[in-house]
Amino acid sequence: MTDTTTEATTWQERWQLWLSQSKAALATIPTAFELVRAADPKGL
Amino acid sequence: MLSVSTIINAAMPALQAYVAAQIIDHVVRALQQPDIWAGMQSTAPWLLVEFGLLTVSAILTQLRVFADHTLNTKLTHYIAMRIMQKAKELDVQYFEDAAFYDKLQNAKRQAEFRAIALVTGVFAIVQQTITLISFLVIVITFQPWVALILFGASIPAFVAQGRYSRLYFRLLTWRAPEFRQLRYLEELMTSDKSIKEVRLFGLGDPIVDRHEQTFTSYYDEDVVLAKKRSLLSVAWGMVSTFSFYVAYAWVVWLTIRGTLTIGGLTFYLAILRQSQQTFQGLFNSVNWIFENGLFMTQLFEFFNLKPIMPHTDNAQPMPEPLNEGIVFHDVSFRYPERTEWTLRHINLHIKAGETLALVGINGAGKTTLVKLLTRLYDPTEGSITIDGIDIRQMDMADLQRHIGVIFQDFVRYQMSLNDNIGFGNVVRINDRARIEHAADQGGAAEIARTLSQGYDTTLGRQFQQGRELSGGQWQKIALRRAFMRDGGILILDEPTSALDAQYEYEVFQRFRELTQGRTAILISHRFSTVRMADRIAVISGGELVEHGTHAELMANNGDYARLFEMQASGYR
Repeated sequence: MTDTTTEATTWQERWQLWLSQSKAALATIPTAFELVRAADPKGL
Repeated sequence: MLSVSTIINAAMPALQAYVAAQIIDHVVRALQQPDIWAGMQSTAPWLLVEFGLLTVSAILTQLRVFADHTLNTKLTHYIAMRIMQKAKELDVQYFEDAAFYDKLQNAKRQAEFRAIALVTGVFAIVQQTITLISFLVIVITFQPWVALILFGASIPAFVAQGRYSRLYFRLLTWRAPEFRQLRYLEELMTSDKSIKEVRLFGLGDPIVDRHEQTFTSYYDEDVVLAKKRSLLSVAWGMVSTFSFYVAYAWVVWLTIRGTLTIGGLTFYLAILRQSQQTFQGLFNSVNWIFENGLFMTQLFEFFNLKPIMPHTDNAQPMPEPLNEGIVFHDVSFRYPERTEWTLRHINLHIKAGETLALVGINGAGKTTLVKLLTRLYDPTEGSITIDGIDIRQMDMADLQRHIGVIFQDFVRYQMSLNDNIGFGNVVRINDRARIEHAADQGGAAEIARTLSQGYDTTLGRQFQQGRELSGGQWQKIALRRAFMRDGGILILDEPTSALDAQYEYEVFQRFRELTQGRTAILISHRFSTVRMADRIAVISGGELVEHGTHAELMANNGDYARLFEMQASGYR
């Protein structure tokens, strides 16, 4: 799970946080498409 | 639909700019010719092409609006269904944990909007990339350095927006408890369950003030963030605008020098302006996807929650009828995340066909004992068996199907009387004869006779033509719901607390008949009720301190006798 409640203080921490959040956000794209396709198969 | 409109719309801007440039060049050429009609004839086809392009674009835009609307409606419904399905799957213990409600709040917040925004964002990126490539080819062919300053100036704004998307997500996630508190305060002010107390205790102003304070604390933080976001956007936006005007000046210079035609001037100006807008739009779409993706992680984390209670693959069937009965073997229990024990070393045998009353002060652990028997929780230590089978070895749904239960905080379903009784046995919900029979056994039939549409009358005030009942009438119906169950175990947790003395007397006059052939557990503070049980178990501080018949316990002169005397003295 992405830790969304921690405020990073150093550049390394910010980079790590940005990286983990970006990965998590990107990973949701295929699942969001599946969700939309399941809701309305012809919608896309 | 989204795919088709994305591809066609992507090619439109470059095509439209090209056609516009052709029209201007033809007009300029026509101005230099003596034959006006010849000039008009050569320009007219381009006008028709532009008309055609605009018509296609307008139709596609409307089709897209329609497609977005239908998709949004279906998606809203689908996500609501998925959330309900997941809620059905999860154990009750999730619903007794505040962190779960924060997760649910975050999952539900704009979920359908975020899901569709994520998908349309991906389509927007595809469209903007195709458009940008067509622009890029034109701009690089024209002058590579123009492309460099035009696009390079947009990058800082993209980085800044990305940072604020993340901070906004963090703010909303952090604030989930406050958002739930706001919804709770609104519910207090607008619900029929609380409105009487709110009015009579004069709680209206304090609740509104509390709502205001909670909102303000969030709002202040939100405004600071939005302000910073806007200021940075303006600052970096000015850098982009400046880079555009540098390129603009260069194109004007080339036109004045005679390198470009007037058509070329309008063409390149349109291309430069639109290519920078598309480039910024592409970055905005990437940030938009990032922000929506972060929000969607919450919904998918909720969908990924798994039931905690172990399920056995080789489930044993629930014995029917019971022979040995229910046995608690040295059962201890504490709630998750808690250190103190709610129940400790409970050893108790409830024989088949017997009625056992559980007695104890509030918070003694009586209802928890029932939660363990119905497998809403598993014991932390020890085990519970029914006819020698550990209930963890049974199929949970099968076990629960065999138990009829009424809790003290029973549900008042804002649905028909038929449903309110039939929910006790959903397989029989359309069996009106069975429902009427259940109602006949305990006063609910009289309620049905007073209702304009009988068993089809909607109960409660939440929906139109609903008929509100008294607390006692609701409890009678809940009691009938428990008796609708076919199973051999009956659990009645304070079943007569809201009933009038006469009806309570009638219930217990017929108690033996109603529990005939069933093993019953009765929780009550009314000793007139308790003494009718075959045996009584007294729980204090989570421990079983006494058990026996009424006569035995009175002879023991322990906790039970003390509590009984205390209550009886009130009637003398």
